[in-house]
Amino acid sequence: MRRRYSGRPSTIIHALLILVPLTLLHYHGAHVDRESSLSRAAVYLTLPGQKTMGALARSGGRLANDYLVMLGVDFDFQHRYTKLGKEHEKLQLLMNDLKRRLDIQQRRATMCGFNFADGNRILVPARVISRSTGPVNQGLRIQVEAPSGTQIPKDTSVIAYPAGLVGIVIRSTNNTADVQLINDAGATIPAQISGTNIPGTSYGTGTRAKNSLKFVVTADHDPIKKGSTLVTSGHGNRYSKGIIIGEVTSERGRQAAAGVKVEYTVSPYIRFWQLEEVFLVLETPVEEN
Amino acid sequence: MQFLWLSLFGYVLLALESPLFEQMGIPLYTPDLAIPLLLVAARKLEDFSFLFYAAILGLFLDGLTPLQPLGLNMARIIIVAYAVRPLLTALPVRGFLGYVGLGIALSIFSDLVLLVLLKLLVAGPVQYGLIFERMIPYAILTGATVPIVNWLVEWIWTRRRPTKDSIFHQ
Repeated sequence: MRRRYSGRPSTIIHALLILVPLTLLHYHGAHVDRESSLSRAAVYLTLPGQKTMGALARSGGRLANDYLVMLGVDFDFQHRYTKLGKEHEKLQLLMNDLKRRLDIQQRRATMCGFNFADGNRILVPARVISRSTGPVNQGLRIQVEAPSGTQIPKDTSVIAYPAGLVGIVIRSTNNTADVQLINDAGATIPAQISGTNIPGTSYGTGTRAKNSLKFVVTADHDPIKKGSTLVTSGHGNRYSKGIIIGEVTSERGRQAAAGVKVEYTVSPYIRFWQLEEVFLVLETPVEEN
Repeated sequence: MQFLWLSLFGYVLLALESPLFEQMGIPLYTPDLAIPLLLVAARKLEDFSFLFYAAILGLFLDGLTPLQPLGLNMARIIIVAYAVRPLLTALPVRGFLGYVGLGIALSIFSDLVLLVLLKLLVAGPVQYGLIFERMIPYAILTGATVPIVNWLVEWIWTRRRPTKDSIFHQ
């Protein structure tokens, strides 16, 4: 039988039950990177379940897929398999050729005494364990493949293979990190058009749509062509420089801020919801010779 | 004991739902399983235990969602929990469709609470349009999970009771 409690102590408990979460929300909602011991504790509490259930769902999904293929549900399987095989072979050849050319160029540059600007960066692999698609944030939770206790610095750029900016680390707990995606409504990235000197800012629109980014530049520049590649400019030192963001998809810019600025739509190269593995771009201290 | 058991069940279910729907390719329409869990708990737990259970579910949701401000789901679920019992008493909820309807109504109410909380207590850009856009399909999906979660809880509940011939039966 259900019991109903009344009296002064019960009023206090009811008031606390309402006020405590509201106070927590007021504190943590003030800024996206606000965190406390309690928020870290919540992540610690749910992390084992999230990892286990994620792995379970993934292996279940693969098993179901294999079973469907075995049952012959995927009639086009043989054809697709051959096509993918050929594509893989072609890409492998291309990659080998590129690797060889890059190796030659690098050897030549080293012989000339040239120092690479990005020599102090290392890529650390990480696995996506959870995604957020809600109206508040567009984010990922990643687990870094490094020993437990590895500290992931805030504002570390996160990229995905072959090349493309995924987002930036906002919070980190032990060897997991929460990443704000570039299409998040709060993501602001200093960017420029590759090969030109047109600086601007890329903003996320907060949606999963194809053109989920907009690039804003001042109106005094030449019009940007459709298909141009957008890269990070490195201004503000928040995002690493030269990482590909996406491709301009609008034919012409839209006037914004009373004609002072022009806005272009950009489609990111990365399909965030299919990501399984990403890389953290960690800046290492430059060794002095 | 019932509280602990339901908390563990909620933990497993909430941790499983997000990757499961991602595997199915519909991450945007992952139902809010906290609603059916609240409806089940309302019949099994006492007043304060039920409200604490709502707080625990909210805490789990806050922990499970990347970049979520702590307290958002906790506050939302507790406010919804305050509405569950009066609704169950006031409305003549009977059978499968009754519970589905109640799940839909609570999901819409929960989205409206979320809207108010985001407007008042969360700084920064929020996709309010997305909340309205997905409100109805999301509510229908959430409503549809009420009988499933209820059946699952009852199924496990009947199996966890000790039988009379168990040596540990008291």
